[in-house]
Amino acid sequence: MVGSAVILVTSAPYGRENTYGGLYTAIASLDSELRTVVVLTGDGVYSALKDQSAEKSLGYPTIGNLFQQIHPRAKIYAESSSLRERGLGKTDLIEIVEPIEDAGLLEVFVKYGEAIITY
Amino acid sequence: MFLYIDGVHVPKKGQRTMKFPNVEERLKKLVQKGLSIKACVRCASARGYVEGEVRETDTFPTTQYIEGASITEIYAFPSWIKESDKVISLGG
Repeated sequence: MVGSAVILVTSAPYGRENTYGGLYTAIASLDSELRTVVVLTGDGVYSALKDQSAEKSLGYPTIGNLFQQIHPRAKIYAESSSLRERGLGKTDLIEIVEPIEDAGLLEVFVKYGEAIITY
Repeated sequence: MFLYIDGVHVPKKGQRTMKFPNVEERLKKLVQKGLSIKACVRCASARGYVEGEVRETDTFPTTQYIEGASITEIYAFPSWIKESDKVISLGG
């Protein structure tokens, strides 16, 4: 029996639906009492940027609002190396998203990675 | 097998490939061997596969999928994960 899941979001938001799919899966996983963690990596870290207003500009749901349905039930991490590669830091992110270094990420995968679902 | 995003196209009936393997035929063989296939309703609905309201069995009607494949709520996904011994994700 699998008791935990890492939802790994690798795609930038809005241009594709992957981020929405990953976050809706995370919400459903938490509602189903599966221990869940969300990890943003690669272009997925753009989902964590502050001050998004997709409703106004695109007519899409703002990703940050979905994060609010996940946190604090689950941690949301942004891979630090992906942030650095894109010139981003903690101050650029929504407060509930935590940057995480590779060593910490390894611990997350060991602890929660019984299922790793990639979006 | 749980299908999401563009993966929901995979069980579509009537596939006619020229040089590539026919995924529909391969899936039918797997279904005969006991494979269950579920597709995310959000993804399937966005691509035109849902043809009505939810059924009592928590599936959404479609005539476009092969037998053995159904469209379900996203909640079927974590439910299946919890029942599994191993999970393999091919996507992203």
